[in-house]
Amino acid sequence: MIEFLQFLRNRFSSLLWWFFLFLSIGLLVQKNFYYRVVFKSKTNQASLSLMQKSNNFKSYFELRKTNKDLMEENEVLRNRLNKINQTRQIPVNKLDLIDEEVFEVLAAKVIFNTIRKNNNYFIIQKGSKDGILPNMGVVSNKGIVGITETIASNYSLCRSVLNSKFTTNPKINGINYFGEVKWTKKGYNKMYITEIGKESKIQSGDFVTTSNFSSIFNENVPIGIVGKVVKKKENNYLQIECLLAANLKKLNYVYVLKRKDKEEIDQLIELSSNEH
Amino acid sequence: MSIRQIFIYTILFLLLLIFQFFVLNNLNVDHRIIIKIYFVPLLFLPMNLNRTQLYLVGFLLGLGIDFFELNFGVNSFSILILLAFKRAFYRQFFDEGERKEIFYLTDKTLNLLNFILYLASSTVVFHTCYFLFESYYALSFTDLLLSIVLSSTTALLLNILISLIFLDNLNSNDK
Repeated sequence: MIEFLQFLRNRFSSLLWWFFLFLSIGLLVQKNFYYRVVFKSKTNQASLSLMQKSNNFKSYFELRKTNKDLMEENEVLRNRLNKINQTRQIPVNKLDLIDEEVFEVLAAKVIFNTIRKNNNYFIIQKGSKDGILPNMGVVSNKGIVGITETIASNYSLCRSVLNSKFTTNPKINGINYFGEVKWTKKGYNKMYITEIGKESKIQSGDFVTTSNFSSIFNENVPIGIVGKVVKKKENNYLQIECLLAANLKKLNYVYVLKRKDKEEIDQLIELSSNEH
Repeated sequence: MSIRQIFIYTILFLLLLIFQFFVLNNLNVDHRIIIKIYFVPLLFLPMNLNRTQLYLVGFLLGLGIDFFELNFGVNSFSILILLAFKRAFYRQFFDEGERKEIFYLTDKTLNLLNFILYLASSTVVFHTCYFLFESYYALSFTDLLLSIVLSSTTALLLNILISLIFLDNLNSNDK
């Protein structure tokens, strides 16, 4: 303290000079319209830029939390939107086609994903604690991506559509077919539709969606669009290429479709398989 | 400083202020040439004068002029910058022997050329500061430079004249 006072005493004249200088500048800015405008605009610019920089810096470290919050908000909004669209019957988004009365949508982050193996899987960051059960449909905002298979308390292993054990029934241009959509290990962006007769009028560009025969997926969730259609001589079926709607290579967030009456359906299926 | 010296400095200040207000301030040539000489006595003040007092006198003088010209901050700012340079100019243009003499402002013992350079540097610094804040936003760079050069030159001629008149008086009074 004494040293500080000593310093002030020694530097008093210099400090006084600075004080008078700032006072002059203050008067100049205060009383002169031009300088007042310039000063205000410059200080505003500087403070805005400083605030922006500090905000950017802060938000960078909060990205993880922001992502999580957005995902949760998205989940709530999607559920709400589904409800509204059901009453108005106007589908806005592919996920809006999900029947809110039948399915509950659970958002999940993908933490592991394979696309180049013979049977591909991905792991999502939600498990039995979140109400996830085996054989629930998993979709992205573009289309179907797989089904849940093995469930841990916090994570779930999902069978990707790029898995030879995955099949589902297609609906092409609104018509249900008894054929199957399968992955034949020919690239991560296409599947093949089998067992559809040559008499079917299917052409390139037709929309392929999930059919109402599936208890896992909601009806009309996009699978992809029809690519090449080949009529083979050796049998009566068409070989239909289906270009996947979802990009399995860039899977970040997915939505698990939790069927509310799943137990009831499972019981019926079990009962029917026991009887036959 | 003796009482007599203070009296003469005060008279010099007052005369220059009157001359500044009633003559020079009315001689604005298209707002290009603005001659300021009222600060000259500050250059003649003894170098061993307490710096706090020097800054206080300079600031109050500038503020007073600002008040009358309704040009707040410009004169006081220019004077403060000039006072910051004063000691440096003094050391630059006068040798040690002369430094003792300038305490009494005896132009007879000073090298006239050095004295003129001392005045010229101070005048240019003052006018540059003044024009930078007074009208830099209204003039182009070349016009600004021209104004500074013309105003400084005119003010310098007047300053030399004033120095020749008053320094002798100061000297004789001191003796």
